[in-house]
Amino acid sequence: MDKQTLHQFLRKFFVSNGCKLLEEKEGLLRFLLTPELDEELMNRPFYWRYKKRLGQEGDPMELTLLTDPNETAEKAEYIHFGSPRLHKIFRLIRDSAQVARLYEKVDTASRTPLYPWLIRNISVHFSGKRKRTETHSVGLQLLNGQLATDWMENFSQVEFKQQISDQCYCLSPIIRYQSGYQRISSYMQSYLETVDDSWVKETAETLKQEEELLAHFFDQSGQEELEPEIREERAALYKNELDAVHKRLIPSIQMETINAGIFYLSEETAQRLLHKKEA
Amino acid sequence: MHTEIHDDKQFIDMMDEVLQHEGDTASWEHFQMAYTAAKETNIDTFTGLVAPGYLPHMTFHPHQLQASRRVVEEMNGRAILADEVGLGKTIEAGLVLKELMIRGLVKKVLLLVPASLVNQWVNELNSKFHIPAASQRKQYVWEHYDVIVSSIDLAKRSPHREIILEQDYDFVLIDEAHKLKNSRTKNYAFIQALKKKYCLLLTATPVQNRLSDIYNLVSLLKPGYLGSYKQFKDTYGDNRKDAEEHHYLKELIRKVMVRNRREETGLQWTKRKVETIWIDFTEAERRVYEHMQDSTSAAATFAKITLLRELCSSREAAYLSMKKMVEENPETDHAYLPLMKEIEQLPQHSKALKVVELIKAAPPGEKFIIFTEYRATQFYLQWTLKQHDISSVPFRGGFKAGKKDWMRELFEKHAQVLIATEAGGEGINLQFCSNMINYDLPWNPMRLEQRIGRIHRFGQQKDVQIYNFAVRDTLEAHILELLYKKINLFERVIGNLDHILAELQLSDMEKEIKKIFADSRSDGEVKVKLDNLTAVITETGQQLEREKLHG
Repeated sequence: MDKQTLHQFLRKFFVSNGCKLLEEKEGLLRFLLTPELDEELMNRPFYWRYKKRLGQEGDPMELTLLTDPNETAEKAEYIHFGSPRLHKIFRLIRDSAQVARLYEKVDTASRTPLYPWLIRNISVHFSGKRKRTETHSVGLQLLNGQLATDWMENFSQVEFKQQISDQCYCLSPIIRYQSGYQRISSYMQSYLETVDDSWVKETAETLKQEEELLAHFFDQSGQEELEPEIREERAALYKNELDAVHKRLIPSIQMETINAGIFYLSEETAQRLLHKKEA
Repeated sequence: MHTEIHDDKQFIDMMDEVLQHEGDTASWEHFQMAYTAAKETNIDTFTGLVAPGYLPHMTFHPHQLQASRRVVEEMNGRAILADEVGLGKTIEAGLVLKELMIRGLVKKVLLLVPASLVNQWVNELNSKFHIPAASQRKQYVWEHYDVIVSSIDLAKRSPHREIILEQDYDFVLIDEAHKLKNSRTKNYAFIQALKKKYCLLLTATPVQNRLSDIYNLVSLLKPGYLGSYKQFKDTYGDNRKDAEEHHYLKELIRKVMVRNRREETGLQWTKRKVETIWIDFTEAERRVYEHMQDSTSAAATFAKITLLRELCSSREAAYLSMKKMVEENPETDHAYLPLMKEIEQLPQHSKALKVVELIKAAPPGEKFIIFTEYRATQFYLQWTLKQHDISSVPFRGGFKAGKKDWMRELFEKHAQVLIATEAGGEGINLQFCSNMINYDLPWNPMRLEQRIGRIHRFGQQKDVQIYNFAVRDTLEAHILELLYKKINLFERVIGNLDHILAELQLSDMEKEIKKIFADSRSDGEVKVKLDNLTAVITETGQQLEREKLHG
């Protein structure tokens, strides 16, 4: 995330959550927080607890963020990718925006039908010897089952509202949400079969080697002369080590839904953007 | 090949629930931002370190980045970090931990470090790596924090021990891991029993004396990697030197151990400037020294050597020792009481006055660390400096961790001088100070190296000035002239001094030197013997150097 993107992101986050933008210049943002965000971000639980106990409204703090390390300001904090503050904000926004129901904003004088789409954004974790995570955005039209990838990227410029525009009406889905969600899973499964799996082979090989080493080290033969207590101890250690090896080295793929929603979209916009992608 | 694929089945139920019951839904803007946040934090490559990009305030040295990368990629997060002192093992470990955390592989972490370093670790993880680590004090925080730093002594005691053994740790780190070289100790068994997915062992001396040291360390990380103990012994023996001949073993170890050496890092170190400050005893002091030297009676030779050393440091140090000896052995009073009387008459110590002179001559505010071997001298120096309006803080190994931090901070922000006893030499970084006074010299070069290492390390911006104080025509002068100057300890950074001493099986250098003084009948004899000692040390160093080039 470059500095400009981060700057815009933060401004959007605070303003859209009701904070007042007090000052903005390149590399600097100053907000008056809302009580809610003050509680979440400023780490002063006692203040808020007392205020609530007294039945008083608290005074939210100002927060000055520097998105450029070369900027300086009083009581300001440099925020960057990796700073705990930003990751707390990421966490907050992710927790608060898991499900959406949105309608395309359409300026029209005539009756316009909107088609339901299920949009599912997914992190796919590939865990083996090492780990990586892919991000996917898949959309499924809930009438005809049309599938579209990179949905968020392709539709980022479309305007969606939480209320339906005048003259528009929604078509009822034929595919239920549950089975739509499942269809996207199936699509992902078939996609995953095409992904390079050398990491799985590599991980499995290492796993086998390490299992063999452990078996060898904790070799049961020749232990008869050991006291039962010691044998038990060794068996417990063996199990411990084996568990750790399995945790590290059993390859797995995990799909984690970032967020998902039902989007009502005009046929015209859908065709325009999906064709544009193909063209 | 079949890989298990886990789907996120709970999400759709939750979503259904929200949509059917008209629950809160997100705006387009927030929905997009949540997606962006996830996408930005997802790391789509198996290889490479992403952690440095998260830590723009840090500058990492190439050898540190490479070490961390090897640990993460090649060693799968289980490794011995064995860089030489001062190259930043802590930094490398922090980087590995950060990387594993960012990639979502590690959440629950236990770091076991020497008690005196607990706070330092907590501070560094928080400030340098933005890792929210907490130190284990008396409260039982084991279950409540994800990243805990504790001393091993505390951790292994009830009730902590039981709680810790219950936890499933993703990552366990042991600092100063060479203390675990013996597999029969309780500490070893404790570490072995910990549930740990990833594990780092930090030590500057992976092999101290015996080859089994390394076997035991590796067996904590990767049991079986070096075979069973019996096989290991049968194949390689237990002589440390044999390791050199076993290239196969060296190769094996290389796969689980990272060891950077100073000269290989290619870094520019600031210089060490060394100056000897000679002090002449006053006539009165000289008389006491000579009387002490000539007292042949009950004073055992070893005790006498100790007293002479102490007298070179302060009147108080020698006086207190004698007082103690007389208390313990009343029959020795005829030997010591006259000497004690004489000492009482001495007005000041010439060396202490010299310290005052040196500090007063320095630019105002220039900071100094004074190292002394004796508590009594430490008190005396504090008092003397105060008489001359020089602010100082004391520092001892026996201080509690919190007090150490506090003293360090006092020194950094308010005091001009820090007076440390030997035990204070370990585990505190004072690189904001570049002047060091060796008020008296330890008789163990390793300890001297550690003293210097407090200020001559990464982060030191200036050349380091070392003043060695020695009283002319005393044993102190011999040690300085015949031992330290010969092995050139002060100027060069001896990375492998620990190896040399281990090679020579000179684990107790101090005893060795005492013996030389005790057994010699003349200064000439002392000189010859010390000459022999330094020659051996130098040659062994050269030999190790050659082996390294070839092996």
